Parts: sequence; C-alpha cells; structure tokens
Amino acid sequence: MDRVVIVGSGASGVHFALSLLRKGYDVTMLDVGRNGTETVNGRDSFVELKTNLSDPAAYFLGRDFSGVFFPDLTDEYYGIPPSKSYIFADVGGEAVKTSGFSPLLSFAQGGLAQAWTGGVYPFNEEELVDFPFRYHNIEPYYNEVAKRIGVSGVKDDLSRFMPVHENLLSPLKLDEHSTLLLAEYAKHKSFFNDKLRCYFGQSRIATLTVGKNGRQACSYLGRCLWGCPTDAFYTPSITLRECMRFSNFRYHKGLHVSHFKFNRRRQITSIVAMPLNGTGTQELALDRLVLAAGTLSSSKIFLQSMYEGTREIVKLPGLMDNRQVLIPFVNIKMIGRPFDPDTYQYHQVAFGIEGEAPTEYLHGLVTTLKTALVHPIIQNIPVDLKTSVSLFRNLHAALGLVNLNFPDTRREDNAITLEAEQHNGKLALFIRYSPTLHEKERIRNAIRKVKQILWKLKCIVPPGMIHIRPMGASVHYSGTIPMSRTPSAYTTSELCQSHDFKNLYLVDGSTFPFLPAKNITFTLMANAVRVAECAF
Amino acid sequence: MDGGTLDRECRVFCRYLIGQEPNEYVKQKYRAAHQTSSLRWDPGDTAEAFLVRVAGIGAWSTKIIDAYTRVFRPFSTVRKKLVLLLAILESCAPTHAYVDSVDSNSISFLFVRFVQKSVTFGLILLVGILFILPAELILRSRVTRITFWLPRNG
Repeated sequence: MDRVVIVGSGASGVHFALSLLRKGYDVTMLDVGRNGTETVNGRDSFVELKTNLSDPAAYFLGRDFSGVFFPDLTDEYYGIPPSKSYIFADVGGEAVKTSGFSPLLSFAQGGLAQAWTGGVYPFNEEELVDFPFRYHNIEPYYNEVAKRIGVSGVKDDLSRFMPVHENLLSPLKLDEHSTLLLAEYAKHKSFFNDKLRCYFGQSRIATLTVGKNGRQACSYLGRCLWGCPTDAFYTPSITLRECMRFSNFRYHKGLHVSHFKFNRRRQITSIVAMPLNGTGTQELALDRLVLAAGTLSSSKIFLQSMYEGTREIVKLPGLMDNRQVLIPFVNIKMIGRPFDPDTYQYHQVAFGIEGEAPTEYLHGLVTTLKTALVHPIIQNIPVDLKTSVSLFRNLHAALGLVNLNFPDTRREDNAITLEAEQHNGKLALFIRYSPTLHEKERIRNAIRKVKQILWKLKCIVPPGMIHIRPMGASVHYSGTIPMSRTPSAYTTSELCQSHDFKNLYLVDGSTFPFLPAKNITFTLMANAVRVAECAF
Repeated sequence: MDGGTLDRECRVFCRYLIGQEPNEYVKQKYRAAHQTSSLRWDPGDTAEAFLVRVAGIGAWSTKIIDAYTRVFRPFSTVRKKLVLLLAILESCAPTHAYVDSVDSNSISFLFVRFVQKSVTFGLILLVGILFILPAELILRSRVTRITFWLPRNG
C-alpha cells in the first residue's frame, strides 16, 4: 500500500488518519506536537481546586502570572488559561506579516481545536451550494464523526439551520440562566420567529452525556475552560491517542514541516521538516501527502514548496474567517442570584437569525458566565475596583455573552502569499484581509437585532461594552486552495486532491469554498473522513 | 521594593478590596509577582511612585487613588497592583468565596446599594480631583522642569 504522510494532528488530521488506519494503510504523521501539562486533581471541581491545590494561583494564573490580564494589556483577550497556553506557543523562526488580519497559529498536539468550545453545527444544503458535493454526500461522515467524538444535543428550533444527524446523545443539563433564557424564548416564540426571524435552541456540543470508549460522561466539574479532566469534552488529542494504538501508525513529533519536493511531472517525492532541536533538516520519502496543518500552515507549506521548486512566489486568494462580535448582557431576572459553578461552562444555548438569503444566516452562541476568571471583566466596569467587585458579585449569575458569527465569502483581495523580510531577506508568510464595503452597516444592523432579541428575553446590553473582534479572532480560517468543480491552478477536486500535484490532498479548511456563520470544526472532521473513505 | 513594604501594601489593598486580612499564601504570591521579571512594576516616574505610596497608606487613601486612577490613569502601576491582587484573591481559598458570593437577592435592595455606591464613587473621585490631580500635576511639572534644565551630555 502507499506510504501516506499526514502533516498536522488537528481535528482534520487525526480523523483522516483514523479512517486510513482502520483501512489498513501505513500512516506517518508529522507534527510539531507541543504538549500541555498533566491534568491535576482529576476529581475536584473548579471550586475545590482553589482549596485542594497546594498552589492554586499557579494553576489559575500561571507560575509566571501570565494568566493575569493587566489593565495595560492591549492584545485581544482570548481567556486562554495557563493550562492551555501551550496551544498557542510558537515555533521559532515562523515569521508572519499581516494586514487587516490577526492570525492565531497553533503547533499543539491536537491543533487549534484543543482550545475550541465544542460547538457542533453541520452545514446544511444551502451552505454547501458552492461545494462540489451535496449534503447527502457528507451526511454519513457527520454520523461517523458524531459516533467517534460523542455529540450531545436535541432536535429543536435550531434544527431548521442544522440538519439532525445520527448518533446524537441526550443533551447536557442546562444551567439555571440558560434554562431561563430558553423559557423566555418559548413564551414569546411567535414574536421571535415571525418578527425577528430568530430561532433558539440548545447548542450541540462535543461532550459526552454517557460514558464511551473509556471516556466518562460529563460530571459537571465546571473545569471545561481549564481542560476537562475526564475527557468528557472532546479534543483531537483523544483521537490521536486512539490512532497511536494502531501498529501501522507512526507519529513523529518535534518536526516543523517546511516544504515538499516534487519532480518534473509534478509528483511529490518527499517532505522536508526541521527538527525543533535544531539538528539540520529531515527528508522523508512518500507516495501520497496529506496536508492537515490548518489553513494558514498548509498554505504556507504549499507556497514554500512552489517557491523551492519553481522560484515562483504564488498568491493564494480567497482567505475567509468568521467576523465575530461579542455582545455582553445582563439578565434582569438573574440579578442577585448565586451562580452555580458546577455546570457545563461553554455555550449551552444558541440562536440563528435568518438572512435575506440562506447563506446570510447569522449564528449566535450564548454563554452564561460561570467559572471564567473574573478580574478581566471586573476591571472594565467604569468605577473603582472595590465598587466594581461589589457590583460584579451581585451580577455574576446574571451576566452572559452573545458571540455573534458572520459568514464570509472568498474574495480575490484576501490572500496569503510569501514576502521577503527586509532585515534578512527570508520569506515570511504575508496575510492580507480587508472586509467588504458594507460590513459596518451589516454589523450595525445585526447588533441592533441582537439587542432587540435580548431585550425581549429581559436582558439589557450595558452601553459601550460591545466588542467587534479583529478578523482572525474566530480561528475559522479557510478558502485558500478551494474545492472546485472545474480543474484550475491552486484548487482541488471534489475529493480534495490537488489539481497541481496529483499525490497531494488537503483535508483542512483551506479547501472550503464558502464559510457559513458556524463553527467549522465538525465539518472539517466529517470532510476529512469523507476524503479518507472515498479517495483512498 | 522590599518584602516588608510589599506585605504592608498587600494588607492595605486586601482590606480595601474585600475587607479581609490576606493570609500568608496571598502575601507570598503578591511578593512573587513583584519578583517576576516579565512583569514591570517600577513606577515610570515620580508621579506614579507618589500614587503607589499614597494608595499604600490605608484603605481610604487606596479608595481615593483607585477612583482617581480609574478615570485619569487607567494603566497606572497602582491599578496594575490592585488587579494583580484581585486575580490572586479570586484564585484561592478562602478569599474566592467573597468574590463568588452575593449580598442579597432583592433587586430593589441591590439597586439602592448600586446608587449609593455610585454616588460614593462620584464623591471620592471629586476628592481625588481636588487633592491628587494638583499634586500629580506639580510632580509632573517638576520632572519636566528638571529634565529641561539638566545639562545635555556632550
């Protein structure tokens, strides 16, 4: 059988690998593979950790206090705790220049989805209109991935936007605030549906509600954000562990892939990687190469390979990402109630707003505030810190956040290319992004609508607190080497086979020709399984 | 800053923020953060140092400086110190219990309390404007004047 080399251990890479391993292929995975620390006190709840750990501040804030969000920090706040900081630790020498885009790269074992919030939202028929396949072509793989990772959820009003796939587990227990929001929605359902064209439901989440394959059901420890100690919450490292049980799987970590080499017939012959320990370069012969390093890293490998092979600097247009707007709110009915830390911590409720066209659908994730660190929030209240603490304590259970996602389309100007650095002449990845002309208006209208929705739910939006995140913050990068019905340069076939190199497959977001307003991770995994099952 | 001064500062700020004495663990973490090289604690100038010194006198002076810096010097060292201490307090027992608890479940009581606290904040801010702002301006103008009269090298 062919020697298959996969680059990257993220959501796409591990599911692609697992399918091939089950089919008997010899699979080699190359990965930088940054690791986190061991789970601490696996049975303790979030609150118990504060008492039982010998140095709780080191766990919650980091030994070097890197988890403290100081007032003079101007970077985008992602709320990544010290236990997950390895996910965004860089590798030396990876220069990235940007314009209008703030990218996040991950070199972690398991990739960016080690820090995802578990939202599982299949694309529907309308959202797949630019893809060279239909919903029924990917549906079996949504079912398969749901079986592998465990997805909890329920058929409700949101299902009109998210097809209901098989292998759905019973939903997670809702927290009091989320229950209240859904009850209020049910009370005014016709107003929401008819006047606002808005539909609420429970989030579909990659978290177990029953034990499965050695993983426990969610025990509501309140530690989701800090790293689930029971593996009830799915991350790709779980599937990587499963891959490692196969004797036909080789996992090489500590390697940063630079480029692939190809011959005159455009057949890829080998792949070149730099060991992180600085011991020169390593070259590995292969028959078929699968890039699953994430859109930005896979594009960089592709661009670098083109440059090494032809001395040509190529531009890959069509970069997409979801614009996200964060809208905090206070639920009047929850003021003065104690908050319950022993619940599932990420979004439990979601809503969809119909657009003029099905592809203009907006998706909102509603997260009620529970066990996140509170000092980054408290310091933003426009009074002194003592008064802020006092206010916050009584509002804690009433606070929530809508993360509103917008769709994106491929446009020529939003591109990835290489550019020589001025100081050393080395080629750096250059990412350029500019929004559409009507974006401001689109965001303004959407915010107005969300405020109406929240008001009807008896929630108010504090003035001056809405935050439009920079492009790149949603980390749903896609579109640079898209699937296409007609073969052309820098595109792939329906089965993600490159039209430039016949033994190259791209199974991450780079092949998506459209980006709906949804978390793409579930579709990334399903698409990777589809390619593994149909093309190999 | 020596350990004794930091301990005293920690005690004053802790009493101010949550009305409790810090335990040895909180004091040790507060000291450790000030010894962490990646975090810069040196007040940038005399005016910054003045704000830190005044804030460390007692809970009332901390309140005045906190209100004043919230509006006029949001990125000051003293605010950074208060945020650090709050982060430590919310991360460990028993102090996290204070941050996680509520005063009352009566919305009207909380509303009255909110109005009362907002008015207090306004009054304290006024005190800060009357006393701290002139002092800070004098210190800053002195620094500017001294810098202006200093002989240039070479």
